[in-house]
Amino acid sequence: MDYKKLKDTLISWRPVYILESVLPHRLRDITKKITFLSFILFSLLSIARISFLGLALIFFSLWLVFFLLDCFYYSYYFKHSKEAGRFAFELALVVLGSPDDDIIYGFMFSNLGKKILWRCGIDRESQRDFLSNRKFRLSGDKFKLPEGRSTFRAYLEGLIASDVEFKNFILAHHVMEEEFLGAATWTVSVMLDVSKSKRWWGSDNLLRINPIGRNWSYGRSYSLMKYARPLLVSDSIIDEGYHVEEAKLLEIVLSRTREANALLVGDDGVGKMEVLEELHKLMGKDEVPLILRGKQIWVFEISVLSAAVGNAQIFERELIKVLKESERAGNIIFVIPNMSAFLEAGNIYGVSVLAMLSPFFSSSRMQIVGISSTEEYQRLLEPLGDIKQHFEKVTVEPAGEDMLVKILESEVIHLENQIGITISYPAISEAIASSKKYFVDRPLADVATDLLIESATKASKDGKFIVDKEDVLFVIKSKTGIPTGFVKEVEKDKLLNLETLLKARIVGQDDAVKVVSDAIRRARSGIGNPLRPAGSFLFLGPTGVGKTETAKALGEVFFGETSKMIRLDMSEYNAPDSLNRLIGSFESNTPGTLVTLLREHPYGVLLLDEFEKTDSKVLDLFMQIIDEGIFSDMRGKKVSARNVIIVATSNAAGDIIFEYVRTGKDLSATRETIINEIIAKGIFRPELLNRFDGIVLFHPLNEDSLREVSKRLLDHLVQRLKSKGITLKISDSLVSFLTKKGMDPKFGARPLNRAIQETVEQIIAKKMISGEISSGSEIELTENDLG
Amino acid sequence: MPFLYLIPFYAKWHYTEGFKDLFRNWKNLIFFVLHFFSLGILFRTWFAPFGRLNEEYRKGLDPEAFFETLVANTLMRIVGFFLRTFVIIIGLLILFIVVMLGPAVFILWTLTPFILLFLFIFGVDQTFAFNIFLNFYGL
Repeated sequence: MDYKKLKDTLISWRPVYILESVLPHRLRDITKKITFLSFILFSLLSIARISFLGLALIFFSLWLVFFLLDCFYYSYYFKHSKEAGRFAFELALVVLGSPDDDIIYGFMFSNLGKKILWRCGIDRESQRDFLSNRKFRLSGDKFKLPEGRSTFRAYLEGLIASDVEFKNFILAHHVMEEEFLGAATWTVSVMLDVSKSKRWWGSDNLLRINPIGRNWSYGRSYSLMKYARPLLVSDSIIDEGYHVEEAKLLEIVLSRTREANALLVGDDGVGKMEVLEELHKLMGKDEVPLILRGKQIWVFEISVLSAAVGNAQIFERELIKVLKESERAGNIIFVIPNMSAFLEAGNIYGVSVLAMLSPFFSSSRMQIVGISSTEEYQRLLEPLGDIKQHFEKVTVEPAGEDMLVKILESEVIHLENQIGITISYPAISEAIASSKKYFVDRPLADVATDLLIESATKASKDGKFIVDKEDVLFVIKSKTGIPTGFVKEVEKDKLLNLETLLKARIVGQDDAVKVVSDAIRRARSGIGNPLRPAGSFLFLGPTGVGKTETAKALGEVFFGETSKMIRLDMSEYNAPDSLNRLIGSFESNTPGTLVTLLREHPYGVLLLDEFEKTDSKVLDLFMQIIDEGIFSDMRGKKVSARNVIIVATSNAAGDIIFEYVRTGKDLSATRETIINEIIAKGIFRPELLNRFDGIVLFHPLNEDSLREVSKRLLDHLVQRLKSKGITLKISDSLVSFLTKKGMDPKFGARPLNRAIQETVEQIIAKKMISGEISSGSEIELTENDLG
Repeated sequence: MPFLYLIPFYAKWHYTEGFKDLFRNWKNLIFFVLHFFSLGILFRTWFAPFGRLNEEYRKGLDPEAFFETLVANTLMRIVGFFLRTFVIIIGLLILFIVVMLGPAVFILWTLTPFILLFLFIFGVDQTFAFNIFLNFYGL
């Protein structure tokens, strides 16, 4: 399709375009009100003085003009056109109002265009700057529209595809092409929905009014009213169907003449209650079979009943009363929000709730809908014959991402009305993407909504008028500690010079520093696979060469100084029950160590010390974790490890590495041989090793490195003494003495610590106690002092 | 004046699409009256007890209890019958008005542009005492 054809498609809206150009809707609205009020005023005055009658008639006729123009306007607004699509009216106003030699100007200057760009989070100032500084003007003959899409979408896609300058302008504001299209569709949908809601004479709005006399044929359950609440449907102005499939299934089950009972089963947060809301909407529009018309959905709260009664007799009597009255009323759909809790509620009184409920299963006058999580259904409800026999299971699947966007769009409209701040479309898409990435365990819609609420509060505090991506990313960073958002100048320098920063902490391990730096840069840029852990490394090398120190540095650089390192000594998990200890045991009902640690600290470094010493089943578990970033606990609930960096350390190859270095071989050249030896010795299986992002070989420390470590350890001591007012001077001889004393190639830098403790710290402690040195003293130790 | 340019478009719409819209809205209104007064349900349940406030007959032979229940249930049916009859009558009356008003509104719609013009000229005449109409009728 070309631009001319697009214009031809929309030409039938030209009359209303002219009307909008001459008398915009808003101006008409105000004038109509004024003329009507004037008509009333002069009509009243004409009672006292007949000469006002003329004015009253003039204003009435003027009001009539505006009334007729409104009819004309709405007739075009809601005019159906298969070719031009749902948003033809709004699109026609933009296209017919655009100059043929500058289509981008026409779009950006139109009412809709301004609204779309604002929804993208692009402020007016930037829009003006772009319009005045651009070099290219998109004319009609150069404007190409893609085929096979809705006209509205094709027009927008055409704008981006035909004008690179405009595309770059959008991208420069961190708005992706899909986000621009999403923002546009949302904006125009809201405009359409608002207009629809004003059209009181439309059948949709008229049929929403509650009828009279419909409930007279049904009874009332006063007991039910005490312990239950009618289902409330959120007042969304966007009427998108949510869980339509499940609602239709539920409708079929509840329309049966007997045993019309259903069990909605799904994971937490998938929207089981929303299935009922969807059914409620269908019932409101009378789009259900006759048997369900006039029915009311009541949600029974067993906890309210349990709190109100004191003993078994009252509990039993009240529950039966509720059920009997509900059945007698004849128009009740009885909803039990937590089926397993409902059935177990009588246990404390020694009463079987199931036995009380079962006589009503076959009732033709009452429908029962139970709700349960998948896990509880499998564990508690499925084994019950009565439930399986009388309830039809309806599985509720989580909403797809498109639907999730619609739900959030609807939520956002309410939120904006509450807090008076605009939430941009890119902020919504970022909230969804980040929820999926960083908050795997919680229901997606809930997390994304919470993120938007917190972002809106933050933006509001900052005095902003619109919530953008950056606000959402800031909230994520403050919640998780994970650096998110766009890389700014300071951070850019830090990331590009990571090697230098890390070398200041890690001595003599240049290869390790490089691998870790690369991993951090990959994770920070967000290009890594989101379905795997943030990073996974196997550090191989002799003891005391800086494997743990590297893991700590990695955590601090990536997650910040206060980051939490989860440390597991894998040598403790070498027995056959190790797997149960890590993921929990269903039999003993004990939670697993790994599960608890990851749920408490889902962001940070997971350090697995002495990885080779663990049980083979545990190795298999970690093979899955490293591969997918997710595993199931004893109850089958998902546990995420996608936001941790996994570092497994092993001394297994220490001897081999040590031997290679001793014989003067280059480690990087013999890397493959070392790994092959590890596999040949059966320490790790090749499939496990292949899953790590990197296998890092740590060198044994040579004398220079040990000297450097000595200096750094002494520096730490100097800092500690400084806090007590004592100055320790470090001399070359002291460093040489300690390096010599603490040098043990087999144990790396570890003996150095002991050497400092046994010599330097010991001497200073004695001197402090004897009063030889005190606060304000300066001390320098010689070889004589050290003996 | 661009506004005058609009007049032929409007006139065309008024006597084509405008009529269609009017017909659609009239139909909506008829459905709304049927829905609002629940006429279908009320006809189907005309003689049912009001709010299902009926008692169940006890088992066994107990004439006194039987007649007590019978009287109570009949009373509830009578109450239900009168209430429903009342709403049915009001509903039918309004339905009749809406149906009858339809053709009248169609005629009014056809004449609206002329009525509007007449009211405006008459109003101006009244206000500024041109007495066009009095002169026209030779008064």
